[in-house]
Amino acid sequence: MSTARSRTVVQRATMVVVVAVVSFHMLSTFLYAAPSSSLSQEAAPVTTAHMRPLFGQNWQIFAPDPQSVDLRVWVRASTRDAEGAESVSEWVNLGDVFNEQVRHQILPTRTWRIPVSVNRFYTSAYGALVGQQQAVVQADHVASPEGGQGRQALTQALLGTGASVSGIDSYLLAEDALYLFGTQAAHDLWPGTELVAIQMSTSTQGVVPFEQRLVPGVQRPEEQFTRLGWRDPSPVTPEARAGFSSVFGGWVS
Amino acid sequence: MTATPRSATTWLRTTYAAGESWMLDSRKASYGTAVLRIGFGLILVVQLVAGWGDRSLAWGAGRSFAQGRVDVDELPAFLDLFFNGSAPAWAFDLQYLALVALSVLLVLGWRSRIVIPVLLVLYIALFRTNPFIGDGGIQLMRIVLVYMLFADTSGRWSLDARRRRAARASGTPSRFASWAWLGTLLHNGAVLLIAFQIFVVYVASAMYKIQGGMWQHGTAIYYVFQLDEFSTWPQVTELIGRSGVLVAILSYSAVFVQLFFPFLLLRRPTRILALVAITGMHLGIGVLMGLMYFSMTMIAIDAIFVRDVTYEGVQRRLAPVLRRTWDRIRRRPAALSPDGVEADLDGTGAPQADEALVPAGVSAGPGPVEGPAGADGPDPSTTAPSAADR
Repeated sequence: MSTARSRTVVQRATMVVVVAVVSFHMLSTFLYAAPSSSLSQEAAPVTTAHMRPLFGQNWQIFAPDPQSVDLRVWVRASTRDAEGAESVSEWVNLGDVFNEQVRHQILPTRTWRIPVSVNRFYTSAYGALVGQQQAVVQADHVASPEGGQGRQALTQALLGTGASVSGIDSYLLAEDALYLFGTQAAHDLWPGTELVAIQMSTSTQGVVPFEQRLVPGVQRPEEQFTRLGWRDPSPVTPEARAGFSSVFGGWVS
Repeated sequence: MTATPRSATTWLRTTYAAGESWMLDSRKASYGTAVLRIGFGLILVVQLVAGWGDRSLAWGAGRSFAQGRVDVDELPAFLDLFFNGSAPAWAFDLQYLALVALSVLLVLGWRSRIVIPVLLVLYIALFRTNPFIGDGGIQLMRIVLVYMLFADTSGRWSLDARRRRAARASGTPSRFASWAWLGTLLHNGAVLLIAFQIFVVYVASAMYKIQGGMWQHGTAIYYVFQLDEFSTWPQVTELIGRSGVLVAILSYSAVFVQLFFPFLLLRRPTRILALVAITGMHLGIGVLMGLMYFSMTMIAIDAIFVRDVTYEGVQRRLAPVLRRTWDRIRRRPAALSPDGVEADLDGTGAPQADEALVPAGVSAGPGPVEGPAGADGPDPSTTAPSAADR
């Protein structure tokens, strides 16, 4: 333990350095995390480089207004049974399956947030599409009898709209996640069948406004769907399928 | 004419001396950082155990739909070595269990200087594997674990502290004794960073909220409770939602407690109010919205604002009780204490009992707060630093 009289120059100099580093980090943290201002924009090159990825953070929680719509992810599949008969399934809300697992849980597992996050991630990529591109992804792109792959057809169609390669890549990152998620779920939702094609849909549904919450018989606003096209089932490795099924399969069986 | 400059110089000099003394003379929030360490350890153990059944979908091979995002994230590529999605399931399970074991060691405070860095790497590696699962609590624990690399979090209520006491009692000097000042300096720097980080969380989120009409009109909580996502207890949230007055009170409280949190800490009566209110808010969010790990992370960090003397008071009252209970469990006479405890003048009980003491102190809430926390200026009542400081 030091006292004022016993402190050495080295100790004092080190303290100055530590205080300087701490102060810089504090200022950086505030500018990075607080709402944007001219000051934070001016400092952004420095603060962003310093904060990301280790100190990355976002405290815009339920703000400026809480989200007042439910975000959902739906899947349905075209399946072929043992006799070779094809049929199209009902739509399944994947969020329902996940939310059911945490109902009345004090210490829930973390998986329940996945469907809403998948919706957000996909919706932001979908929102970046312009012009005819949204119509392109809403159309079906499945393997043709001649052997063409659906994914190639989709890429060609997007290139045809003038989309850049990097733009297509970043869109496909999101679509692949969505359809792989749906394909893995479909394997468990319709077991014992062969998946022929998968169709995904996202949706939003508003809640009853605060002012009307006590009105008898009040209904929530209509659910708004963004229905995408049919796609080939995403390739799933046996390990990935087993890992997903060991959890999700138990929920839906 | 010369009076003003002279008094200004005096003021500067005394302020500098106080600041220097705060940074170098003792380790601040020595119990608070121990509670933080124990709290983080327990949160990790509980959520990893609770998540065991879902692990292969959440983090294992079953989360292949998230791999595309992992491949383009900003984190260093060496993290792919851990919790790799294409590794066999037994390898994943072993790493998962290793993280559980490290979390237990964090609770016990065993070799924290080594355990925390290793745990931090595995923690980041696990939670990065699925970006679709994630909340502020995961980010916040990661950030605070980085600060904890520099803090002496096992100076109290830990196996490390017991070992240091034993070494001191046997007269073995620490190899690092001449560097203790640096440990103290870094510890206090880390305490400042942890405190400031939680201030930013509260104040920044309040700054965002006060821009929103739903928060201004006191209806925001109602809308949050309407969502599928946060309907863990739909019967309860619906009941709350029916009362406009209750919704307004809860919405306003959330904003104001967050916005004013740093300032409420400055004086004892408002500090008690702030800590009780914010802990209540976190528990409410945790239970009703299924965000318990996020909430417990915040509560564990807020524990650093309870002053050392308060924790010592809690320890004085609880240690004898716990020691008696422990002795009864071990079916032996209370007179026989474990080695080293006789020399333990600060009233610490058997170290095994200490671990049980802390959660009890935390769950009792910040009720017995007695004075300024470590982070608000020179604090002459802060107790002597641990053996390593000598």
